[in-house]
Order: sequence, then structure tokens, then C-alpha cells
Amino acid sequence: MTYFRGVSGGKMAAPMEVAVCTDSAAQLWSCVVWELHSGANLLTYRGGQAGPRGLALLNGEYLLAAQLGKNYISAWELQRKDQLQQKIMCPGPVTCLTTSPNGLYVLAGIAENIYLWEVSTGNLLVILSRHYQDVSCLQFTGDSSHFLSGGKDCLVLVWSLCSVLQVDPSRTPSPRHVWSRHTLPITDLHCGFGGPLARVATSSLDQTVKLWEVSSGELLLSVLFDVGIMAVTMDLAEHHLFCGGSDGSIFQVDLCTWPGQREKSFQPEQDSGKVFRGHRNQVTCLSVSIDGSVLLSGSHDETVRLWDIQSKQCIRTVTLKGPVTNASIMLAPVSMLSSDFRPGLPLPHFNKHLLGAEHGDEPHRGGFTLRLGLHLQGSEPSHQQRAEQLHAVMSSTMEKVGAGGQAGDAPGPVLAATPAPWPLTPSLHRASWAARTSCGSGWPSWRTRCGTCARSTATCSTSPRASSPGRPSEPAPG
Amino acid sequence: VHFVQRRVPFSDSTRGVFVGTRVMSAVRQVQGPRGSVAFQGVEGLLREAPPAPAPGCPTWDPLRSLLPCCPHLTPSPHSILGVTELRGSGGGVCSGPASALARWPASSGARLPLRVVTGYFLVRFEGLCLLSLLVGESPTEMFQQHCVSWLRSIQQVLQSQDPPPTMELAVAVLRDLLRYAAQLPTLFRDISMNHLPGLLTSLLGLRPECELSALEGMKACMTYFPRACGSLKGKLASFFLSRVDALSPQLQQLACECYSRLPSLGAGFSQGLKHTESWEQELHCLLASLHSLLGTLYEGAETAPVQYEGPGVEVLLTPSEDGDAHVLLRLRQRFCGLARCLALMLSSEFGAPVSVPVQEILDVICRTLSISAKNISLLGDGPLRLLLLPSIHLDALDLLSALILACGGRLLRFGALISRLLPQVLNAWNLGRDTLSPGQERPYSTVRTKVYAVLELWVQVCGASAGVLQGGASGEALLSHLLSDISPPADALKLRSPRGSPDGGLQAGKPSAPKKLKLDMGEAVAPPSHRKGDSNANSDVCAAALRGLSRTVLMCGPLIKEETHRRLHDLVLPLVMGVQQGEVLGSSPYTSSHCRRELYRLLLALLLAPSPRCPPPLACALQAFSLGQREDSLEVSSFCSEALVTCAALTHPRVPPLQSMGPACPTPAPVPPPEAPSPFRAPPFHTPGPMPSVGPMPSVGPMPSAGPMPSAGSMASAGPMPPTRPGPPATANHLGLSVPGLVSVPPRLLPGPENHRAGSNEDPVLAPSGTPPPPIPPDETFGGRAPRPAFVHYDKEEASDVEISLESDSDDSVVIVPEGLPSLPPPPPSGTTPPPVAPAGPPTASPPVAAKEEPEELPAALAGPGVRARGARCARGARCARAGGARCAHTRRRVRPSLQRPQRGCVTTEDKSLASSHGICSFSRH
Repeated sequence: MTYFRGVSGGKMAAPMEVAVCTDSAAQLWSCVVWELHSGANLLTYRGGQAGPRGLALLNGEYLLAAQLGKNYISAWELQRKDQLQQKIMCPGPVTCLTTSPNGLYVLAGIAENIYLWEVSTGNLLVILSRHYQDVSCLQFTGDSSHFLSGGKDCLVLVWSLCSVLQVDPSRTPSPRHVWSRHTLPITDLHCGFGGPLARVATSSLDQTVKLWEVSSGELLLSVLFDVGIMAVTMDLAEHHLFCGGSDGSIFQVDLCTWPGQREKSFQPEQDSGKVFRGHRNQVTCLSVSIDGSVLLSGSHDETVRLWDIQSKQCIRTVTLKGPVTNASIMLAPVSMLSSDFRPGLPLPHFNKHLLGAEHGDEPHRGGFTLRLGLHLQGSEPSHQQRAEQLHAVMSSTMEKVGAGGQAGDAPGPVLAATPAPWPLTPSLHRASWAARTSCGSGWPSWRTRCGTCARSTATCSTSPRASSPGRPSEPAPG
Repeated sequence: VHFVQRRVPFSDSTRGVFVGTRVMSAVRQVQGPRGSVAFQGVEGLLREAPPAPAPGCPTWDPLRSLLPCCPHLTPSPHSILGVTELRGSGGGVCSGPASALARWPASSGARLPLRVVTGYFLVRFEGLCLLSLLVGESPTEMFQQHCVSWLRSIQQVLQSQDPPPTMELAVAVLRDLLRYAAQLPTLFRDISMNHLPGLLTSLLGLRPECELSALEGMKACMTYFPRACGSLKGKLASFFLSRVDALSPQLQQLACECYSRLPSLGAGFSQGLKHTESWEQELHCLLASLHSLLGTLYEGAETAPVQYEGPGVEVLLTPSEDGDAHVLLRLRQRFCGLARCLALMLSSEFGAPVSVPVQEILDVICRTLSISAKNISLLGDGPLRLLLLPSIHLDALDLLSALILACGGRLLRFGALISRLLPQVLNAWNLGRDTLSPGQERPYSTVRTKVYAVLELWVQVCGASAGVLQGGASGEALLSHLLSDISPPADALKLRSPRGSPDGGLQAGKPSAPKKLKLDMGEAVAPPSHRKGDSNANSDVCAAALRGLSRTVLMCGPLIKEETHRRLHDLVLPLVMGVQQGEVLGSSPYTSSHCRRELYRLLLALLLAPSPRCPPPLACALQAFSLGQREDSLEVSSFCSEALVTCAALTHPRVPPLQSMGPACPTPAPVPPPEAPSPFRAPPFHTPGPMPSVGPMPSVGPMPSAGPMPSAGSMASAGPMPPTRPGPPATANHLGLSVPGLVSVPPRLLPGPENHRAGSNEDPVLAPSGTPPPPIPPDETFGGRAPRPAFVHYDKEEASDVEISLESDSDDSVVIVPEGLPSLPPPPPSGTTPPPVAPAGPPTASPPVAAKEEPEELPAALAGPGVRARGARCARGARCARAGGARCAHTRRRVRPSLQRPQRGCVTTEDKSLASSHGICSFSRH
């Protein structure tokens, strides 16, 4: 994927941030993408209604949407907006969906179970049933090494991907941490950067937002509000925590202020400067732009609002046709903007049954479908390297041919006149080459230095013993 | 000049350009400073050409005679083109310039006869040189126009009887030519249809001594024109296959590279197979062959050989000749070649997505790696098989790394297998390693190096999910192998251990006083200088192990067990210090600067990715890096400088700017209250007996972390220090060095005390006791023992000490509370007026004055060295200046002012122990 992003960097003038939104009515389209700052509607994807926390981008190539109340996931190729490409059938209605940032795994919460598919084979690798009520939110850490699940059973679980994948079938995989300090269902979670060192914010109907640490599993902070919190997010630098309340307010909690308290409560009247007011119904989703200046929020009042974080002013309001289920800010992948893009890999057939289980699914061979040699991108020899190689070949050719010729029947006087059999010994060759390349650009710079004194370089090379590598650019005597 | 006036046939010969004329006229016209790159290149290239023998003589070389003027030529490649055509093509055309050449020397030097003898080749050679420049630097239109004729010329060279070096050059030019030609669609089509088969045929027909060139040429054809090579696929395959087991490594490598490209040849459907299918088929064939080779090589030595059951059929290799003596060697060479082909297939680019049969490939790898030397009988050709085994294992490891590279994180499912496999191989090649004296390379270090390289790659690819070193038997085994390969040889260690004693530490800032060291060396067995050996023996394996380990720690650090972290600290910190003091050098791997740099990298990794329950060695690392910065080796010193920048970001975390929070927010002061010691920093030991009775002192030891510490005010109110004598020279300064960095991370963001409780309970010495624990011999603590109480017991009170008023003050001794301790009780009011006591509450009360050093400079200077040092160090905020107390809270310096040292040059061992046990708490967790 990085490969394609790299390509995009060359093509596009500037990275474009887009807002991707869905509502639960989905009368005209199920997903709309608009440019964040101008508000221009870029494209729409049609077919079905995406459920809350049910929208995910796979590998920058596919858009996946868990259908509201239906037991399938829609998948669109990002560049083909209007045709629904594939339906991934699931054993039950999908309550939440996410993909790993490296594009290798898809996670879906189906009732109280978490299903983990491997994208390169389509195999259903594992079903985790540790929650005892519906899973409400799922997210991977940024390095895809862990994922988190929050459920209606008030639990947040941290799973290490490697232990989940490697557990032998006889044992049930167990989470790395179980966070059970919430007292009412978890509504949202947000994982910051840092992989195993990340911090995670969780929100719950118990009117608190809690901040946790993945590495130790510690609870770092708990903030109590007056209302149940339905959505939570942080800016990338983790300076602020944004919490969407069930009354339509969005609260901003500053994480880097003093005095620090492990428990604190948010008083709207006291912290009046930290509330975004405008939504008339509960806030369902929040997202912060990359530079941390703009906040996007979706609400059950059927609007998506864009806020300036500094001033808490609403910059833009977009009205959708139903309660907003997903709204997120992302950098537009190339494939979204160029219609001639083709996904690097076909979307596999996602198995409905566990890998190794004796069911009627078409048996996949164990092979991983993948593109080879992507790691070699950009490692072709550079111009200077190639020039050097060529030079080496030339020098060796000259040496061998020249030496051969001389060994043949070169007359004596010639030999006497040129004591050295051939201009430079190999080591001198190398040294002089190094001197040349060290000028920065290879030949030309050498040339500019000695352009006027071809004679002197010639003299230098006649007597290699006298010419040190540092001296070949001596000015000509005459 | 006759020569230059010769009419040259151009491809658009209607124009009939006189090359020479053009050249000369161009020379005449353009004498500007800018020259054509091409010509500059030519000149540079021919710089080494035989020069004029006599100083007065003009150079005779025709090209050279042009060249002094050439740099000023405008880019008029047509002129060179003419020259090239004239000279580069063989046969009839060539005779022309040869005769033309013959006329040249009349006016030139004595080198002529030689030139005439070798003239033919040289002319061709010069043509090729020029062509190489033309191919690279001509503009598109020109390239398009002349490419085919150039290609023909090259083909003529290939068909000629020129010596191998010329062929080599011709092929190098050919490669460039094909590379550019493949970018132009019309040219691509033309060459594919009309020229490529012929070209391949001439390459296939090259003389045996030009085999390398032939392979290079074919590789270029297959890379840039894969479709067009399809028709000759069979011939090519057998050509490559017969060289896959070549003895020359270069030839073998090339043959393998070419062989691995075979599946992408031909049109999308060649012989009814898609590219991807033929790729998979080829892969299975290779797997089948590898299995059967393995079966033959190690018949009977395998306990339970895995049989290949895939669809592949064995690759048809030429049947080995009767010579029984070499049959095993030949088989091994084949295995190596085929394994390399397989690895190259996995790691080189392929046009379409393919399905990689991971399980099957892992099967062959596991089968190979599980052949153990123990099961090979030593009868018959057993010893030979045994000798070949390491190289076979190396091939398997190469294959494994190719697989990891190709599949990346998808292999996670097989992670357990991989992390079992690595220690297994290390175990297998662990024989007889301890018996060797230092300075001797241990056996099998190549295999071990490769294993560590695979480990590093695996962690690189999978990051934190690699699951390496995270407990389990295999993790333990791997760790112990890593540690054993990192540790310097035993007698080098002996030198280090007996150094230092409590008073030795007191003596000076240099714990490695030369006198002492010499003494130790006298006790050592034999001076390493009298031994035969390499000074940097085992440095490869050591560097590889360090790299693997540091990568693992960096990526998986928080997931690795606390215990493992401790073991690593205990090994690495003394090692770093020892290396810096030149003690472990001798003939240890650390004489190599590469190893030293990797050691620093490991230290940095330990610092950056600590276990949540084991504080990172920040103070020691700072010390180590600043010493390492002064190393002579640029490799090491530049790394240490980089590391120090990273450390600076750790010790001085950035506080978000005030502005971003908006004026509406009642933002507290941006500077954190200096006194609130984070629970994270709460040391895992207890203050001695009488301490708890002191008034505002919060509970000692691990503390609950809610809210600012009540001790904040009391600490700030400490009276100014009376300036006193410089203080004890050596040990006194050590605590000041372990300046904790954690100043601005809110304590609530740090995990609670329960994290550290486990750690503090581990060591019974840490339990509270009635009396201050006795001083610990410094090297005992630092040398890898458990952390000790950090109190320093001074027998004599000194004027500069701040005395803590203990209610049951029966003891004459003074307790110096080291940095990191939660708080100090208010000192008895001294003669001077104490500054206003800072409120204990949040720091909003104090204006966030960005206090500079300057305002404090004057009073500090008046007050004396101790205060000045404090003032100068504490640039954090006004609060500290006002407190002016015994302790600068920001830097948490020690009470005794004489602790100040102008630089962080030297850490006494005591300090090290302290730092390693406590100062480290200061790691910023953000």
C-alpha cells in the first residue's frame, strides 16, 4: 500500500483530507465523501446502509461497510463508486467492523463474538468469544500488533494479534488486558499512536471517559461528565480528548494541563470554553483532522458538523437524510481520486467457517495471495551506481586488452617510454574514481577541474607511483 | 583530419553528414564553459588512456585529440553517433577507421605500434565506451531513431571473437540499451518481434569463457523483454539449469537469478499456463527437488523426514557423473543452487499476484533445519555430510528470510514456529564454543550470524507482533544465546569485576584508576597480547546478535517481561561502561566500532521501549552516550550524538503551547508544579525509620498519585544553602548527574504505584528498616545485582548538608535524600530569611515566568558556588528561584551543592547503581 501512496505523492499537488460519512437512511447513497475544507462533494458509494462503527477502508483499495442489521458486509473498490462490488456474507448482523492498518486482517463484531479474517487468503482464522454481550466497537493499534474491543458488557479487551493467531485450537485465546472499570456499556473507543505504547480512550454510557495505557494496562485518567458519552476521539498529538455527549454537546478535555488528577469531573459551567454546542441530539462519531485544527462530528440530529477546535465555532453543517452512523476524516487514498486505479490484489472470498473446521466452504490452499518484490521498489541502482559499474567494466576491459596487447609484440622503445604497463593500477583506478565521485556528480566535476589540463592528468597517469590520488588535479606546468 | 572528413553512413543517410566536419565546426563554434555531459564522460573515461610519452609530444589518440576541445561541444550527439557507428560496428566498417587510424600516428607519438596491434579491439572498445554514453544520455528522439542500429552493432560484437572483457562491456551496454528501449512502445514492439530472439540466440552461442556475460545479457533480455523471450524458454531453462550448480559463486548466482525469472517469460498464456500458474508450478518443482536432494544427502540422518506431497515434479538436473568422491559435494551444490532459485523467486518482482504456498516452503525449511549433527553417523562419508551441514542450514535460513521478506506480516500465523526454529538452530550450532580462548573466532559463527539476521528481519517485518522473547522455553533459549554472543569473552570480564571498592569510589571521579586496573591485569591469567588471535574475533556474530536484540527490544520492549529487561540492563550497562573505560576491549568483539555502535543502539532501545514495570536506565544511558560521543570512531560518536538528541526529547518533554488552548480556557500554568513527584518516580524503597514521623511527609514508598503532592510547598520552602567548601571531591557529585527528566508529564497519566510495588517487594533489602542501610560497594550494585537503597550514609556532617530534622535525632549521621525521593521535610530555618513559601496547591498561583539563567546569575554568584550551580541549572521556572531551597525541584538535584560538576563527565559507580535502580524512573512515558 505504501507503494501506491508513494505514487500518489508524486501526482497530487497536496494531500487531500476528505470526510467520509454515512447515515442510516441511505436513501440516495450509502456513503458520501466530501472534501473537508471546501465541502465539495467528491463521490458517493451506493448500496445499503452502513451501521455505526461499521465503515472501514481496507488497504487503501476497498471500502467495507457493515450493513445495518443485515448479515453481510459490502465491499466497494474505491475507484468504482457506484457499483457494489462484493458482499461478504457473515454468520450474523455485523455490529462493528475494522481493518488492520497494514491491510492484512479484517475484524468484525458479530453479536458477542469477534471474527478475524485474513485478507490474503480469505480464511476465517479465529472467533473470539470473550465478551458476553454485543461487541460495540473494535479498533487496531496503529502498528496492527494489537486490537481493542469494547462491548455492551462494559468490558474493554486488549488483544495481542500474535497471541490470538498462535493459540492452539484447544485453548481459547485470552486478551492481554481486561479493562472492567466502566459500569455501563462501552460506546466508543479510540486508540492513539504508538503501537504497544499507545493510549486508549474509551467512552461509556456511565458518563465517563477513561484513558488507558496499552503497555501496562493501567488506567491513566477518568473523566466524569453529566451525560452519557457516545463518542470519543483524540487529536494525533494527544493533547485533547473530545467526547461526544448524548445531549449533543461535545466536550474537550485537555490532557496536558496541570494539576493532573487521576479522576476528575467535567463541569460544563466551569469549563464553558471547552464545549462545542450545536448538535440537537446525541453525537455518534467524532474525528479530528491531521493538523488537529478541525473536528468532525456526526449526530443523530442527521447533521455532520465541522468545528474549529480553537474557537469552538461550527464551520460547516452538512445535513444528511438520517441519523449519522459514521463520519471520519481521512487522507484520500489515490484510488479514491483516480478512476484508472486498479487494486493490487483481488478481494478474496471470505470464508464463513473457521480455518480447519470441517465445513462446506471451498477449501483454500494454504497459499497467501500477494504481490512479490514490493520491498524492492526504489532499490534499483542509481545513476551514479550504474556509472560506476560501467566504469569498472571499462577499466577492466582496458586493462586486460591493453595488457594483452603489450604482452604480444610491443616494441621495446614504447615500453621504455612508458614504464608503467598501463596508466593506473586497479587501486589507483579506484582511488581516482573515488576522487571523482566525491566531487558529487561524478565525471562532470572532475572534468571541470581538469578540463584545461588534460596534459597534466596524462602526466600523472604515466607515473602512477608519483601520482597520489589527491594530486591528479594538479595544474599543468605549461 | 582525414579521418574526421570521412563520410559516415547515418541511418538517415540522405543527410550525409560529415561527422568530422561537424565535430570540428562545433568545436570552433562553441567554446563556452558548458560542455556536453557525454563528452565529459568520454574524456573522463579515457583519462587513463595511454598518454603521450614525451612531454612535448601531442597526444596521438584520435579521440583524445578531439577531447581537449570536446567539453565545449554543444550536445550534438550526431557527431559522436557518427564516430560510434564508424568504430563500434565490426566488420567492414571497422576496417575503415583502422586504416584511418593508421594514418594518425604520423603526427603523434611513439605509442603507435602498440595501438596498431591492439587497435582492432581498442577501436571496438572505444566505440562501446562511446555507445554506453550515448545510450545513457541521448535524448528520446535520437535514441528511438538509432536504437535498432546500435542493437545490431552490439549483436555483431557478440557474434565476433572478441575477448571476454569486450563482451562484458558489450553486455553492459546492451543492458542499458534494453532498459531504455523497453520504455518506448514502438521500439519495444520492434525489438520484441524482430531482434530479441536473434539476440538471445547469439547470447546462447557465446563461447564458454564468456558465460558470465552471456548470462548477464540473458538476464537483461528476460528482465526488460519477458514476453519476447517466451519462445526460447525451454532452451534458456536448460542453459540456466546446467549452471545452477556451478562452483563459481558468481556464475551460480547469475544462473539462479536467471532461472528464477523463467516463469514470467512468454505471453500471458504460454503453453496453456498463466504466468502465475507457471510460477506456482515452478515453485512446487523446486520444492520437490529440494526434498529429494535432502533425502539423498542425509539419508538415515533424519528422524522423521517430511515427505513432499505437493504437485511438483523434480527439476531435471543433469545426472551426476560417476565420480563418487564428489557426489555429495555436487548434491550440496545443487541444493544450494535450487534453494537460491527458490529464494530469488520469492524475493524478486513478479508482474501478477501469486499464491505463495507458505506451509510447503516452511516444511522444507523445517526439514532442513531439523537435521541435526548428532544423528549423522561418523562412518563412511558421514564426516563429509557433517561438514556440509552448516552450509545447508545457511541455505535454509536464506530461504526463510526470503519467505519472511515476501510474505511479511502474513506469516504471523506461523510466528510461533519461526520463533521456535531460531533457537533450535542456535542450539544445534552451539558446540564447543566455550573452550576457546578469546581472540579466536568461535565455530559456526556464520550460521549464528545468519540466525540473528533472520531474527532481525522477522522483527523488522512484524514489529511488535513478532512475539519474540516473550517468555516460553524458546524465548528463554533465544535470550540466553543472544546474551552469550553479546558477552565479551570470559577473561576480559575478569578484568572488570574486581575493580572499585567503597572508598575506591570515593577516591575519584574515575573509578577505573589506572593503578587499580593494572593490578587486576596482573591477576589475570595470561595477557591477551601474548596470544595468537584476531583482535576483533566474533565481532560479526556479536554485532548481528546486538542488532537482532536491539530491534526486538525497540519493537516489542513493552511486551517483553520485566525480568528479561532486568537481565538486559544488568548485562548492557556494565558492558557499556566497561567498553568506555577500555576494559573489555582486549580481544573482545567490542574492539570493532561496529559492535560498539550496536551496543549503544541496544542501550537506546532499552531506554526507548522499557517494560512498563521496569524503569528504563535513563541516567546511565545519558552518561554512556555523552561519553560515547567522544569516541574517536565517527560511526560510534555520531550514533551517540543522535541518541543524545533522542534522550533530550525524553528528558525535556514538550509541553503543549499555551496558545493552542485558547484564551477562553482557564488554563493552568504550563509549567507543571515542580514538586509533585510522580508516582512513577516514587522510589521502590523506603525511607529509614525515623523518617515517617516527619510532619508533611506523605506516605513513603509507592504513593497514591491522585492530585498534587502535599509536600509541594514544604519542599519549596527549604532555606538557601550556605555556601561551603567544595565538598568531598568524588562521590559527592554523583547523584547530581542522574537528573531525572520527568518534569512535565502529568502524574495522572502515569501508571499507579501498583506497577512498582512488585519490583520493590522483590528485594528484601528494600523493606523498611530501622537504620539506614549500609553503603553498598558500588560495583556490587552496578555489576548486576539487585537495586539497593540509594541513601548515602555519610559519617561526617558537612556544613553544606541540609539536615533533615528528625524528631528522634539520636544519630549523628545525615541522611541525604537522593533525587527521586518524594519529598523532604522542611529544613530548620536558617539564618537567612526564607523565601515566601510556595502554596502547596496547583501552580496557577505562580506566574509562568520563563526564568532564564541570567536573572539568577547575580544572586547565585553572591551566594557562592553551590547556589549558583543550582540557579544555573534550574531554568525551569520562577518557582524554583523563589524556593531557593535545599533542592532544586525541577532538576531534583541533590541537596549538597558540591555535587555540581561542570559536566556530566563521570559517574561514579555508586551513582550508576543508584541511577540504574532509581534515577531511571524518570523516563517520560509520553
